[in-house]
Amino acid sequence: MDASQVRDLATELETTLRLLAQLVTELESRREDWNRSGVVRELVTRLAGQPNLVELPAILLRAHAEITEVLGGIRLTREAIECNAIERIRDTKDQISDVASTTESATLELMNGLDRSLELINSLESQAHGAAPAEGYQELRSQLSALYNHLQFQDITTQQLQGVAQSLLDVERRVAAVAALFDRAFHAQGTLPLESASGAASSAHLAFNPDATMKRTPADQATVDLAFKGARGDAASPCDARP
Amino acid sequence: MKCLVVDDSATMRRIVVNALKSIGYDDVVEAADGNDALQKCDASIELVITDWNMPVMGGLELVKGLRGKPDHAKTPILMVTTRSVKEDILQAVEAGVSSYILKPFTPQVLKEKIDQILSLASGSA
Repeated sequence: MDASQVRDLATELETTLRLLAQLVTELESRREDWNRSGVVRELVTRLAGQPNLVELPAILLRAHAEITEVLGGIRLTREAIECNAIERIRDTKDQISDVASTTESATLELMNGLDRSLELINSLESQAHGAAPAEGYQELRSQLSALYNHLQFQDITTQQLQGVAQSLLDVERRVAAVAALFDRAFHAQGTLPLESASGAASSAHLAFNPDATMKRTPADQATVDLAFKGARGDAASPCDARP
Repeated sequence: MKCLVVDDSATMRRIVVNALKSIGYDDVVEAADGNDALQKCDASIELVITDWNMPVMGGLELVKGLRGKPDHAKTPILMVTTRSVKEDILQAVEAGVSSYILKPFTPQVLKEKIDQILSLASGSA
């Protein structure tokens, strides 16, 4: 219903109310007749005693103006959500992808460096012809291998970042669904995609595990071993080793 | 012994390959996902080390696929993953995984598990 329709309706209502007021006045002039019927008199008295009836059209017009203002605010909010929230979420997702990609490149470079260092140690050892203690070279190799192994952080943190990006995607869908709700307030059309924004119940099918963690201990591996044996029927009481 | 290392992360593949080489396994083939692995896993592969969460085809589907092949019905398969919940482990066992390692792992744990499953495989052969 637009503003002109509301105005027409208000005018029509005002006319009706004026007619009703005339009717009340006319009935008032036949007071003697009504005295025989108490119910009619009471009704007319109550109707005539309503001071707001004449003001009703003006109230309706004021309400319409306020509703129009609120709808304008909703429209602005929807535009703000689309322009800022969704765009920022997308930017953040892109930044997360950049971080994951940059970290992977840097880690591969580190690995190249470690490989070159190991080659250099081998070369130095062969040039030394036993002049330096072999344990020293072996210790260097062990340290570099340990460093190599610590670079698993890259895979694990990337999975965590992918988990965050997935959550942002869900948030983006939900925000878009809220914006669509506002659209529906204007146009009363379409179904909302809010249901599709529900998160995945299991990450088994995903290319990453959002629960990946670096905080593992030998005890966690032992717990998993026990659970594995239990699942195979080799032992009892398997239990979780949650991140 | 020829090994197949399957992981979508290039860094993880390199770490596993490096760990394998440090414990004497030099003949290694790499694959970036389950589908790639199924194509590369010919009869010469004697040990498979796979991640779980991968694009295109995950580790669980890969294990099921390999177990369906006569050549790999009994090939030792090691799952190296961040997944640690009991239900995941049960699924892995049901799919046919021989052993299970949590990431991050050490080369020592990798060696222990490989020794274990190879010993079991040779015992059951």
